[in-house]
Amino acid sequence: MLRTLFLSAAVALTLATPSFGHAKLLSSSPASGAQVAEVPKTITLTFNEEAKLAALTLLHAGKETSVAVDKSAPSAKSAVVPVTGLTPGTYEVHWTAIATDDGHVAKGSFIFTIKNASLATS
Amino acid sequence: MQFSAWDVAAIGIKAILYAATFCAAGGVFFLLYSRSLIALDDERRVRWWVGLCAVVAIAASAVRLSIIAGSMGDGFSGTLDGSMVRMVLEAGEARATGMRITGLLLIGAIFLETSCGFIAASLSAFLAATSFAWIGHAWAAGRWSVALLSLHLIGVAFWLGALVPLLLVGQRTDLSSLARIAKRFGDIAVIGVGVLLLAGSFLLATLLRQASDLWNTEYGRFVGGKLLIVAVLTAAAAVNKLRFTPRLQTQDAAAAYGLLRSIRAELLLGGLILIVTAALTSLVGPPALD
Repeated sequence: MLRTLFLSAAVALTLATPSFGHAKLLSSSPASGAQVAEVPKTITLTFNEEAKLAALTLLHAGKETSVAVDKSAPSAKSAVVPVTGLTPGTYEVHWTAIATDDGHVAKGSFIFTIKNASLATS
Repeated sequence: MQFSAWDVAAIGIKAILYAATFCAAGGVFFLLYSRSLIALDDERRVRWWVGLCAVVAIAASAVRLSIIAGSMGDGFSGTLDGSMVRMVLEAGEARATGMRITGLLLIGAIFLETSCGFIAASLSAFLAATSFAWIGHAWAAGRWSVALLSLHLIGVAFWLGALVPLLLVGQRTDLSSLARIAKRFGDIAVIGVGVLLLAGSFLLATLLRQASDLWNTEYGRFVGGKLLIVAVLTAAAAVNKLRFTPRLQTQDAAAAYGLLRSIRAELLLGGLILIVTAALTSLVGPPALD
């Protein structure tokens, strides 16, 4: 009986899809799925509650780049991160934040595309 | 979204932290009501068990902070990243972990073997056991939830935390002493279990929006799994109290064997509950906070 209980719990844990606490990304700039003509100078993340952004990485053309984040910034509902050197193409943004009311770590990702300049102006 | 190795590590260390903290606090509570019934040698063994659990809980608290920092940063190097650890501390862990470590250190007063030392250790055990209410879902839900979770945690420490000391003493003592200790434990555990279940039910009511959240949400399904194991554990405890303990009064040696075997099963179930709770409090948020 105990073995069955352990197995059931293991299966329940394996099948669960974690949502990682309850700090959620409400919006971003560039927005998720957006196709922008201008190269963004910052990435802005807006959460449903006060949080601190701990890490931000960009995945572009199979290359992962860590973006410097101000870890000493006070907790807020929005975090603005300067980005430089972006070129046209699709970017996958992976973020990690920690909610300040309950201490839970939240993770997520979204995609945006920088259109080719010649295509953007056409 | 997939489970990462960090998630598994975070759940594992949290379960160890829960177990060690409740065992340290529960050991103190066990001595609080059974010290007059047990031999001096057994009392010393329980004190050492409490000390060992307190040390493990302090170490687990530190390792857990590193694991959370590592899960936020660049892999293993993140575990040693001071700025990440500071972020974790600033997000409420300083309050809860600070309270817990203070309680666990002061539990050491139990080694003074004086009444003052024992009182200090008992108060510290309350502090350590309730420290988990000072962060997380209950903290985010408001002060009533913190009060309810604190009561729930004290019930857990009184019940589950006393099982190992009961086993340590029960394996060595004679039948009549075991009968007296088991009866005392059973009488206290009834109150502990009652407080635990009542406070847990009210807390659940504050964290769910409606009853259907129990089966319609991921959080509810996790809680449902936990409640199932709690039901089996409560049944095992009831068998101890209603079947084995009365038979012990009649010097039935088979009852002692049955009682100790049942306590081992309760420990396994208790460990499973702590693992499920660690996953519940780490991975999913209650619907009322969405």
